[in-house]
Amino acid sequence: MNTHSNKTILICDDEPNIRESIRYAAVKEGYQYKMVGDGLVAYETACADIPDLIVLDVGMPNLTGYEVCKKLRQHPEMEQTKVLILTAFGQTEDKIKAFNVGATDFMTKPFSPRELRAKLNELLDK
Amino acid sequence: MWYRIFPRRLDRQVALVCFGIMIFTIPLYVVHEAQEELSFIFDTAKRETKVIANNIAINSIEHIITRNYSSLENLLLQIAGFPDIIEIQVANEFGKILSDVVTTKKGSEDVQPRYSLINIKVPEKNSYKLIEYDEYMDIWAPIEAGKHIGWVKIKYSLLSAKNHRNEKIKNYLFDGTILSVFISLFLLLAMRHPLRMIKNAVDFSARLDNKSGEQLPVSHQSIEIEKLFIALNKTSLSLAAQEAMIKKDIKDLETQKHALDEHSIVMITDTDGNIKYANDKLLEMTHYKPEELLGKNSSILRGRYHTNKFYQDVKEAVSTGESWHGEIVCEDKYKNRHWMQTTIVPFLDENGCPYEYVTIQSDISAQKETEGLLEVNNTSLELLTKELEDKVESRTYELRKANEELSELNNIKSEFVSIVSHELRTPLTSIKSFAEILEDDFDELDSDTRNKYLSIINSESVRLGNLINDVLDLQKIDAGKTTWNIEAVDLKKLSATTIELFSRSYMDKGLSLNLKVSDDDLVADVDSDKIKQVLTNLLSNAYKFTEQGSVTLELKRVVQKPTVLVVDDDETCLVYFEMFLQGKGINVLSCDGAKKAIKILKNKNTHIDLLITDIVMPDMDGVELIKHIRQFAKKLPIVAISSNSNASVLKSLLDYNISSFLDKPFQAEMISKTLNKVLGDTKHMSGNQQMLQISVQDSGIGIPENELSNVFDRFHQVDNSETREKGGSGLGLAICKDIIEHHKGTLWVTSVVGKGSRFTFNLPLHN
Repeated sequence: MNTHSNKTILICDDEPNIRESIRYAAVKEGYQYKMVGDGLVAYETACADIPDLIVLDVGMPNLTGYEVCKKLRQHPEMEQTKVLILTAFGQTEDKIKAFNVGATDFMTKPFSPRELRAKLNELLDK
Repeated sequence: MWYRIFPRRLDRQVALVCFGIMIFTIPLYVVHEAQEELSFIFDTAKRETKVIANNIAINSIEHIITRNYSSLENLLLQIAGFPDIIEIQVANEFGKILSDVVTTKKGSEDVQPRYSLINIKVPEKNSYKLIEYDEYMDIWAPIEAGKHIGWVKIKYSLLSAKNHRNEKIKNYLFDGTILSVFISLFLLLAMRHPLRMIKNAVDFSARLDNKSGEQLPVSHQSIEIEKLFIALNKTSLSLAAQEAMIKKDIKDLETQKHALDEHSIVMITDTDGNIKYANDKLLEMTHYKPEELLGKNSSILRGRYHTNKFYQDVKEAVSTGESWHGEIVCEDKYKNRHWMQTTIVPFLDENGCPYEYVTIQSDISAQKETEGLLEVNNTSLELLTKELEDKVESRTYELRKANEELSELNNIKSEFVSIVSHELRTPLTSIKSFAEILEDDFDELDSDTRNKYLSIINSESVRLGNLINDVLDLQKIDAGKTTWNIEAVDLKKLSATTIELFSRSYMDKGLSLNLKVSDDDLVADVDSDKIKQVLTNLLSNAYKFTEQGSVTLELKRVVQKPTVLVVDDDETCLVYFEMFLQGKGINVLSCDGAKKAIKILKNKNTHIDLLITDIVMPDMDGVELIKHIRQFAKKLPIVAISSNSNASVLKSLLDYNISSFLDKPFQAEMISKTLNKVLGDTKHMSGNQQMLQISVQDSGIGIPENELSNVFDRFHQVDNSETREKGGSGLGLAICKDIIEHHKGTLWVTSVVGKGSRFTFNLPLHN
C-alpha cells in the first residue's frame, strides 16, 4: 500500500479464494475494487459504474468472461476500458480467443500475485 | 290288354286279318246278292201275275156278260194251279164276288172253289193295282168290256221266294266261311317262307354284334327280301371292317398304353380330381397301394411346395380342353418330394368338355437335384461373395466407426484433459497465490489474516487432492479398470454405518439426519465400498446445500416397471401403444415429435428402457433422430416403426444399432415378441421387478428445473456463485451415476427450488 489511487478495479471470479487473492493485490497497490462472482452481474456492475480495469475470469456462471468482454466492447462507453482476462485454460487458442473478443491483456492461472500486481500497474499506467 | 289276344307272329296276324275281313265282307255280299235275286223273283212274279190277271180279265168278260159263272170258275180253276197263287177272285164292279178259287194247303194241285157271299172292297180307281204284304201280295186288274164291269184279284204267296232266298243265303254263308278258312290257311302257308326269310334276317342282324362279316345266302324269292338281304350283308361286311379297325386301334392303343406305362408315371382322374387309374410306376414312386389311391382325390399327392393358386391355375388351364405341360412337385406316402415333369391331357366329350384327365409324368428329381446342387453351389458362391463383400463392407464400416469413435474419444479425452487442467488450476491458483502472499508479506499480515490464508491453502489442497482422486476414479471406471467386489450386501447395515460418519457434522450444523427403513431383507449384490461412496457423496451434497431442516436417507422395496417412450406423429398410433403397453404393466411416455423426444431422452432423470419411434416425422427425419439419439444414448434399445420405408432407409438405420423393426398395421403378437426380445435382453428391465430403492431427501436450496437434467454431467455445477462457494469437483454425481449404472440400477433426481432435492437410486435385489 505504497500509494493510494482512486482508480477502480472490478474483480470478477466465481471462486471466492481467487477473488480474495486478486483483491489482496489490488488493495496492496492502492486501488479501489469491487468484487462479483457472476458474469451477468459483472456486466451490469460495469455498466452502472464504469471501472478503470476489469479483471475477468473466463469460467463464470450465466456469462463467461469472453461473453462479458464481448458485450463490454459493444457498450459505447467501454470500447477502451481495460480488460484483463484470467483463464485456467492455458492454450494458445484461449489467448487468441481472449484477444478476439477485445481483451486488453491476458493472464493464465495459476498466476503469481507479484505478476498480477505488475500487470495491474501496467494496465492502469501507474 | 286287348292287343294281347292278338297273335304276335306276323303270318298269323296277316291270316287273322284276312279271315276277319272275309268273315265280315262275305255275309254282306251274300245278303246283298240274295236280296237282288229276291227282287228279281218278285219282279218276275209281279209281271207274270199281272199277265195272268189280265188274261183272266179278258177271258172272263164273256162269262160275266153271259153270267156263265161255272165257266168262269173252270177258267179260274185252271189258272189257280199255278204255283204260289193262293186265291183268285173275280168280282163285279161293286165288289160282289162272282167266283172264288183258293189253293189249299196241301199244294197247288188241290184247288177248290169257295162260295162266299160277302162283298170285297174294290179299289176306287179302275186301274191295275198291286198291294204288297209281308207274306203275300194282292194284284188287282180291272175287267173292261167297253165299260168297267168287274175286278180280278189274285193273291200271290211270297213265302216260297223268301224261303228260296233264305236257303241261298245259308248256302252262300257256309261256302264263304269255308272259303275264308281256306284262304287264311293258304295265306299262312304262303307267308311262311318269306316270314322265315325275314326271321332269318332278324336273327342275322341280331348276330351281327358278334358275328360280323358273316353272309346270308340271298333268297331271290321276293325283291324286297333280296334287297334286305343284300343290305344286311353289306352292313355285316362294313361292320366287320370297322370291327377289325377298332380291334387294331385298341391293340395299338394297348401297345401305346403299355409303352407309356412302362416309360412314364400315368394317372387318370375325373374332373373332380378323383383318381380312376394309377399305373404301377406311380404306385412304385408314391409307395401307395392301389386301394390307397384309387377313388381318392389326387390332392393326396400334393405337397406343400406349390401354392393352392398354382393348382388352380393348372386346373383352369386344362379345363378349357388344352393340355398342360410343366413341372410339379409331388409328395409320396412318406412325404418325400419328387420333381415331376408333367403333361396333363384332358379327354373331351362330344361337347368338347373334359370328362377325364390323363396325367403323364416322369420323375426328374435326380435332375432337379443336380440342378439344385448346381444352384446351391451357385447360390453359396454368390452368398460367399456377398458375405465377403458384406464382410469387407462391415469391416470398412467397423473401421470407419472405430476411427470415428477413436477421434470422438480423442475429442472427449482432450476436452476432458482441458476441463481437468482447468479444474486443477483453480485450486492451484489459490494455493499459489496465498502461499506467495504469505511468503512476501508474512510480517505485514495480522495473525487472523495469516490463519485465514493458511486455511485457504489447506482447504484448496484438500480440494485439489479430492479432485485428483475423483478424476482417477472416473478414469478407472471409464477404462473398465475398476475392481468391483460384488457380494451380497445388507444395504440397511451399510446405510447405518455411512450415516454414522456424518452424524457429527450434521449435528454441528444443526441439521437432523434420519434413516428410514420401510422393509426388511434389503440385500443387494453390490460392491459395498462403491455404494458407500455413492451414499457419502449424496449425503455430503445434501449437507452442503441444506442450511436448515433435515436430511432423510430412506430404504424400501419398490416394483419397477419398465418405461417405454413412444414417438409418433400419428395420434392413433400413440393411443394404441399406450393402451397396449399399459395393459402389459409397462410405463408409457409418448410424444408426437422428434424434438420433444430428444428433450425427454436427454433428461437424465427420466429413465427410458426402450424407445419405439416412427421414422417418418414432420419435424425431423427418423434417421437423423436416431443418429442424434445415438450421440448421447449409445445403448438405449430402439425399435423403429418401419412402415412405408424403403430398404435403403432401413439398412442405414441398422448402422445405428436398431434392436428391431415393427410394421404397420401393428400385430399385438409381433409387438409382444419384440418387447420380450428387447426388454428381456436387459435383466433389470424384464417385467415388473422388485427393486431396492434408496433415496436422500434434503430440505436445501433445491435445483432449478433447467439444471435438473445436467446435474450428473461431469464438471457440471449448477451455475451460481453460491454453489461455487461450496466447492466440490463437479465429478461426484457423475461418478455416482456410473457406479449405480454399473450395478444395473438407475439414479435420478427430483427437486423443488427452495424446498429441497431428492436423489434416488434403484438397485436390483439379491435373488
